[in-house]
Amino acid sequence: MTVFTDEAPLRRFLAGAANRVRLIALLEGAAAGLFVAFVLALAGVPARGAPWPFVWIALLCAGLGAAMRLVMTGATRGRIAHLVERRAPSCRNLVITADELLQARAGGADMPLASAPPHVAALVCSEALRVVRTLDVRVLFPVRHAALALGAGVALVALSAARDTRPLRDAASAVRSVVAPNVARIDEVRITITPPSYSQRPAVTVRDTSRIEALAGSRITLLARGHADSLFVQTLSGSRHVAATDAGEFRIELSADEDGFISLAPLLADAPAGSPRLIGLTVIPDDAPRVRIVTPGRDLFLRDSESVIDLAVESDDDLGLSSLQLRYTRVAGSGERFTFDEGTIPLSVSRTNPRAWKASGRLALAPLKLTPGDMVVYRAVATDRRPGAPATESDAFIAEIISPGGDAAAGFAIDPEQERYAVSQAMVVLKTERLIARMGTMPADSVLAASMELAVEQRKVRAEFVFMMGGELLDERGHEGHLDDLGEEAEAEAEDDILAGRLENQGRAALMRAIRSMSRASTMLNVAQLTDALAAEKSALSQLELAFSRARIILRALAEREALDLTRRLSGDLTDARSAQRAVVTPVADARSVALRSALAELATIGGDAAPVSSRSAALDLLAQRMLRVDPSFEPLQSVSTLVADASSRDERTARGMLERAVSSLAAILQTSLPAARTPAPSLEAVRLRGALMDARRRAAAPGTSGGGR
Amino acid sequence: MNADATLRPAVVRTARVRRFTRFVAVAIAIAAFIDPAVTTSRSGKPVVAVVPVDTHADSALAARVRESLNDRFVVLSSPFARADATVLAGTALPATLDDIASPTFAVTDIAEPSLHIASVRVPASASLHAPVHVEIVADHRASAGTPVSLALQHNGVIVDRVMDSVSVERGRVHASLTFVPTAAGTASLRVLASSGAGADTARADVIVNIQDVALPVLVFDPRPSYQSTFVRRALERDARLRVTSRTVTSRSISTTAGEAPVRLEDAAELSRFDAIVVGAPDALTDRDVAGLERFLRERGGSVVLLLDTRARGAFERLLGVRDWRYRDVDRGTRIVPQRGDTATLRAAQQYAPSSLPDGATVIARAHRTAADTGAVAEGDPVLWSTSVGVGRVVVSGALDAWRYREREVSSFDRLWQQLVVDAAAVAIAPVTVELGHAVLAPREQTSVLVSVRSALLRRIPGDGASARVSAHIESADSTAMVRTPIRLWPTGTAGVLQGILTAPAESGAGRLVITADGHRTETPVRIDPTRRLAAPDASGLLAAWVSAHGGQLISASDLATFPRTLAESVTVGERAERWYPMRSLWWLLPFALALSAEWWLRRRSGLP
Repeated sequence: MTVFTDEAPLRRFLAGAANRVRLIALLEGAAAGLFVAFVLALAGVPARGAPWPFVWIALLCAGLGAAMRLVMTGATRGRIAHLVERRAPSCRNLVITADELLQARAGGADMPLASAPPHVAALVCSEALRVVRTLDVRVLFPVRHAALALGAGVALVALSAARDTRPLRDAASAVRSVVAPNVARIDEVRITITPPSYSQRPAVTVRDTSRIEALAGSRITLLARGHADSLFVQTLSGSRHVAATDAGEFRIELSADEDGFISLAPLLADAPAGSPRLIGLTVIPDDAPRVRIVTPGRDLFLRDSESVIDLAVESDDDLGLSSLQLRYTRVAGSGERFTFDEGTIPLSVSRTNPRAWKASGRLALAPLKLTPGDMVVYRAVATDRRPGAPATESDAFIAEIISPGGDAAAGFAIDPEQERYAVSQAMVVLKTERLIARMGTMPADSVLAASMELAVEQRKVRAEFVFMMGGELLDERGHEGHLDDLGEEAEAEAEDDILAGRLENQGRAALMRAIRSMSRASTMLNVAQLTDALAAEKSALSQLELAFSRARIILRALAEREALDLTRRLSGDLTDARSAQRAVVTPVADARSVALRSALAELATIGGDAAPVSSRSAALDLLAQRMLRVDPSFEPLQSVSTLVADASSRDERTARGMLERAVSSLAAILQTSLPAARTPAPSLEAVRLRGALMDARRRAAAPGTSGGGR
Repeated sequence: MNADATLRPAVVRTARVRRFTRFVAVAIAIAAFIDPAVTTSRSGKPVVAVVPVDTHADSALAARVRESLNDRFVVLSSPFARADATVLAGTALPATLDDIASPTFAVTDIAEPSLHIASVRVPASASLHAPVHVEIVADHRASAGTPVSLALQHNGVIVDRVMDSVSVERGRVHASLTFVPTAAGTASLRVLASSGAGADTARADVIVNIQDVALPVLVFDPRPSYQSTFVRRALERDARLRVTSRTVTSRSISTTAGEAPVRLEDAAELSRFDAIVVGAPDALTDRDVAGLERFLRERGGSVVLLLDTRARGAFERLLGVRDWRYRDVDRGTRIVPQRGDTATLRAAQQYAPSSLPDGATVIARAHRTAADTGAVAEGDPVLWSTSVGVGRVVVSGALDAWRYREREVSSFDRLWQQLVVDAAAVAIAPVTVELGHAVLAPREQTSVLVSVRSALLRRIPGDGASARVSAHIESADSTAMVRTPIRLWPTGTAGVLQGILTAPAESGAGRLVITADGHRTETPVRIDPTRRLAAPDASGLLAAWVSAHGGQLISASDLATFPRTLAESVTVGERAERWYPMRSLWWLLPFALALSAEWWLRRRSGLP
């Protein structure tokens, strides 16, 4: 291969040019990235008052911009000779040709000029070298514009980052001091919200905001700077004066306990109070954890006292869970001899994340030694990390070992169904009939389960009547017997009533028979003897109908200890009944609506006043406070309050616009608490015409009327 | 001799001519003195009525038109049915087209704005405790999609605005703005419309009488009723209502609040109330129902019947229902108002007419959910209303809606409050006043229509019912309150009178006071020289109307050529006309010629 003597300098020139183009691309890309970061800062990303995050974002944008620009100019740099020729037309294609010859030498026979005679190639390279020696790469590819753009980008980013730094703020404050030397003012309010430690959330600092949100229990530290001797601080809980610290700042410590506002009014000894800063405070409560038993998630009625129940529990919390347990209460015995034993079942907890846990466990009944009629009540209990927070319990479920005629113990066994009071004996009859109708299409175990559920309902109905009758007089031993088959103890206890003949009352007897029929029905439902159960249910129903047809007699025959408290039942002697006169009810005005209406009226008056808005700053500040007091945590009201508070510090045109927006928004808020406007009434003439038409139609349609031929 | 013979005939002829001229002059003088009137059939000057459309805004234009036509036409300044033509001055059709003779021309003097506020619907009076909806229709001659901004201004402050969200379709914009009153009194509202960055603007002024007056309502239960009890409690919580109640718990024992009538038989006692809510209407007696019917027909009140059982009774004769249908659904189903209100009821026991009586209006229907598909369909009309005379009866067949009254389950309170407020609001007032418009320019005239209930709703037409009615407008001038009486004239309907209100010259607030049979009604008016009223863009309608009546639309800039145009269109037929021939100035010419000729002939004849 022929060696061109001019090859190396020519290659160095081209490489230098390519590097120059690369540098320009880098500068342009970085500058573009910085401009993007500046635009983001204007849009509030990141929030003001966070210079370092902004610097990092700016650097990231610059890097990304530079990389993208490099990629975009890659092809151009590959054809650097063309770029040189374009910038220096005097080369007359010599540089391009030389570059192609050099690439052909390096690249092989398939290049376009690979077959060029060596002496021609040498001559071309020699001429190209001669030409490029007259060229200056720095002139061909100047970096000045790209550097200027980068400089501008850096300046903008620096300005954005520094806008919240102390020197600039001090400068702004100094300017204000010159403009208004003897006016009390607040230049800056820096608010640090420190959430309670258990939340494991970082403290947040914001500046010059009109609204803050804080987790309940957070510490709020306000550092205010300005031209004032003291600050008059008002909150919903009170007001106080705060003196400046040695550093000339005002430090206010508050606790985020409830929604409200913080008003900071600067005071100077020899000057009127300055325009206050109003900051709405919304306190976000720490929600209690939620916990539920997913499996089995319903009451169980079991025959086998050695069953094992598989349990699945889920729990979650807004901040984080601290514990999750499954507690049970073993209930054994009957009548007055109930025994209660409590215990905890170990759960295997799987923590999806600190805020959501799942757990599983097994409730073995054998160790509890349950006998028929006994039950175990179990519920899941979860706590969150808030110190002293009460535990949250899930719905409690029961697992009952069934016994014929046994009732679920009141107080902790009955699922609080919404339909509880709608369940009647007639409904039990109806449901039993339906179940009998469906029996043929259902598996046997399903029929048994449904029948047992009906038994539970039957016992609930029975319990209502037992409660109504006083309960104690019922002698379980006499269920199947006659009314006279009461036990000796019960008979002795009710001796007075028996002597008085009160127990012979037919209504009461019918009611007792109904209760006994219900017991029989419940027993049969437990073993899915539906036909017999239905007969017993219907018997109970007919006895109930009989009993309540003599309702008055029942009431009169109630034993002394069952006597109704007449003072609580609004009953009495009929002859004492008198007409009653009460005053016409005056609707109590909704305090919120009244306050908002008053605020709206005042705001509209100020807005419609020809006087400059700035001259009404004191009234507007007070009004903003009043509005916040009405409902401190209501965001739309906070926004209106901010508009009102800020209006007086703006130029007249902007202030008027803000007041108009505030009026519209406040009216919209007030409208939601008002009733709808009444429907427009038709005209009197239309009403008369319609009435006449209706009367004519009615006369025509009346029987015996020959329907109006006209 | 011959000469004398030759001269004599000439002298004689001259003497004859002289006598003739003298005769002519004397005859003319005598005729002029007599000034005879002659009635002939002839074509005279056309008679043209020039009518300003708006007596205030268009009067100047009307004067210009009259001036231009005076020479060639007999010009009248009010409508005249037998005129040869009518010229309307203004940009719209006049409120009344009575006595407008054809052909009709219209002269407009301003470039038509592209944006008009065509109508502003606002109640004449409204409650302090509810928002006031202002329904606006604006016409805009612009391409579809052009944004229009509509704003509502009160005391110089924009209180509601619809911006950039209203698109123009077929040149018409509909919007509803809301005014939330903060105090009782007259609220002056101004509707502002703008389009194209404020290039086109329009405005209209209205007033609303904001009242803090509770409507009197009686809740009457002939026996205790859960439904009625809970409805009454809901009504007692509404500041727009003043609830008097009686619940009859047993014979001669009842619980009352306020001065409630013992029974419903006495219509005079009932007339104190705008609406009567009846619980357990099945327990009403025939005489109660008769009292309610008189209340409906003669008082024009409203009755709300709250059924709570399927029992039938005397109340049915108010309704005209033949058969009822009863449904009992497991869980309550929603009962949804028909006119898009969000307030709903819920009831399991639903009782509705098998077929609604003729002319009845459905207020709310039960929603049925298909068991298999879950699809929701409209069911029975459980809430409906009908008319009895001028009264209104509202019937509720949601028998157990009270069971579902929790706020989370239904809007029990809100729906009943709204329903009863609406029912009470349509009750006819003792004196009803309808003004043409309540915002007037100084000295502007508008119509007043007064209806006196006692005479209007008398039971037997022609029984000689009478009412003493007086009307005046009160306004304040610079020194004192001025009372200007208004003359009212009976119309063809007994109990309805009409008159013309002329606005006072002083700007400011005024009130029209009508007193009839001891009832005094005050209607606020506002006098504002800069007032603008909503008026539809009637230029197209006006052009079509005048074209259909043989005329055309004329620009005020073409007034110079208008008389010729009008003359070409006017056909003046021959008609009997009395005229005075001697009143023409032309008689001076023959009179003077005759005297001059006579004098000249005398001098020529040598006579003195």
